[in-house]
Amino acid sequence: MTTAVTSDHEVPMFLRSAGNDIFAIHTRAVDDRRRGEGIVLLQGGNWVTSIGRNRMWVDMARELAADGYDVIRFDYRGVGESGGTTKLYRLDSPFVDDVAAAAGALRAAGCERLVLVGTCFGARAALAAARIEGVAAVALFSTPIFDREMERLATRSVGTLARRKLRIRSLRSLVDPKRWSLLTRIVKKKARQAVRRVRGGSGAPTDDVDVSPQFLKQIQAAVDGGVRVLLAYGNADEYWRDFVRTREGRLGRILDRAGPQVEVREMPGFLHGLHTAAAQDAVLAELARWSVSAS
Amino acid sequence: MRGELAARVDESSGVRDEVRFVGPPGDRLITVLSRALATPVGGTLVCSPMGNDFVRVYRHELRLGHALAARGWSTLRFHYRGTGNSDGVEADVDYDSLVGDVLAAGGAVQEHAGVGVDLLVGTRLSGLVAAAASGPLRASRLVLVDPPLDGRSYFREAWRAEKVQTITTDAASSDPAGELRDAGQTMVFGITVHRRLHDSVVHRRLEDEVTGERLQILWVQLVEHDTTKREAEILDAWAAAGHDVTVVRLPRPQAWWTPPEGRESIGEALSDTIATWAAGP
Repeated sequence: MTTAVTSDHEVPMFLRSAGNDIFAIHTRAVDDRRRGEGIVLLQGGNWVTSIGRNRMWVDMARELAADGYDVIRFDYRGVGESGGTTKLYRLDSPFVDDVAAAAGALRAAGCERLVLVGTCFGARAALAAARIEGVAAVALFSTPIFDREMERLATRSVGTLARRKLRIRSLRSLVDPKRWSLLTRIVKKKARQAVRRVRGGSGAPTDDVDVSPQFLKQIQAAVDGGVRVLLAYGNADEYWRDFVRTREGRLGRILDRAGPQVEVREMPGFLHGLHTAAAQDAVLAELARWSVSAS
Repeated sequence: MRGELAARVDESSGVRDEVRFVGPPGDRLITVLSRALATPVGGTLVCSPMGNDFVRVYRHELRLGHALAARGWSTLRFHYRGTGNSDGVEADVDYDSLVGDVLAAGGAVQEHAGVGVDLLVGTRLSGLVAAAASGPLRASRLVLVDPPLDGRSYFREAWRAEKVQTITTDAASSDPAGELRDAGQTMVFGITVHRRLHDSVVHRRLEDEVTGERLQILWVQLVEHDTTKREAEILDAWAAAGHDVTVVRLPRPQAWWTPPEGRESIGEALSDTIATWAAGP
């Protein structure tokens, strides 16, 4: 029988990171089950707090603590109770300092092995922080493999893009000059791909020329460092299609060489954004299956 | 772990925020007290909205706490039990538990700031809740930010928003009201709505919930419009009860119930308006 964990096991704290006070909550492992392992939970970007939809991260922290893990969840800089401001979430620069501060707090609490669990932006933050001292595993859900929307859209076929743009909502969005600018850049990029194809280069959407160099470098570094990696996607998500489309390139070669150290999981339905209770439950179940234990 | 305190000083305002859990073990609220910069003129309790609305206004309410503290109001924000970082189970939340939490948080203002609650701020559904707590807390001022005029319209907005979403995203059609009735819960934009909360709120009307006496009420509406018949009825009822009501319209249309897209759009005008009004006579 597991002990129900409540706020009685929790300590609120502010951590210093890059000149900001980062608000975090440390959920301490139930004493008689304590493993000496710590987990950092990393939500997506978009100015959401570490509570999560339906308090998903709160429940997850408390469930994991009942199972013997020390867990930290925190608000990124400029979000929730944390200090600072955030104008933009850059996938190629995902607040590693904040993750390091949380990891440091867990190490200070006696956790020698750490697992980073993230979704979307949080997954990129986890991957970028995978070489932080003590990190033994990273569980990445709905990880974007492009740094910018333009790069992602440029891998779509012209027909797919046209269908998307012909939706009423999309047409309405074209009133926005920034959207026009984005569309223009995509069209130019598609034209360059076409020219490359005509000249005999690949130019096809399946090449990995646009996959985030940071992502490739970081996943290679994680593998080289012996860090276990879980890459999980909902198969209805666009990010899954991105992943499949680019897997034939360098990304696939890295994963193939890594063998069982990197596990790729295709999960049914939509996962990105955790918009449904089913998606929220699926992440919890997948973590349990994969075993967040780094040992 | 009881009594653990986390504190920081906000760089731009100089206000000290103190985060602590309060209440009995296993049933605690998380609270954030923004201490008045000088000798406090009074205490403020900020009652946050629910679900995605909570996420939407989170940063605005933090800024409001700092703006009020800078003007001498020790201001406490908190998460209801069953929500946010507090204890409790979401399915157990109902109108009475919400009002009970406001009263408990009011006790925390007295305990940790040494002042009573003079000013209550409630956004959306918490406008009704704050109004209901205004009497027991002996508050003299009440701020209502875009409150629903009644419980029924509050949930009707949710069902409508969910249906619009299914149309615009080609998702399977949904019947959240029917699902709530049949299954006891439904999902609105990734947030579970439980029948217990729904049933305890749906028959309530804004004008009936104010329990305080001769209150100064600031009613902030975020959409520019002419006063509707229902709003006029509410204003008349409050005037007859001796309340002094000010209506302010700050056009910042919010897609309530939906998850925020990008940075919160409520802006600083709202926190400045409330803080300025609170500083008035």
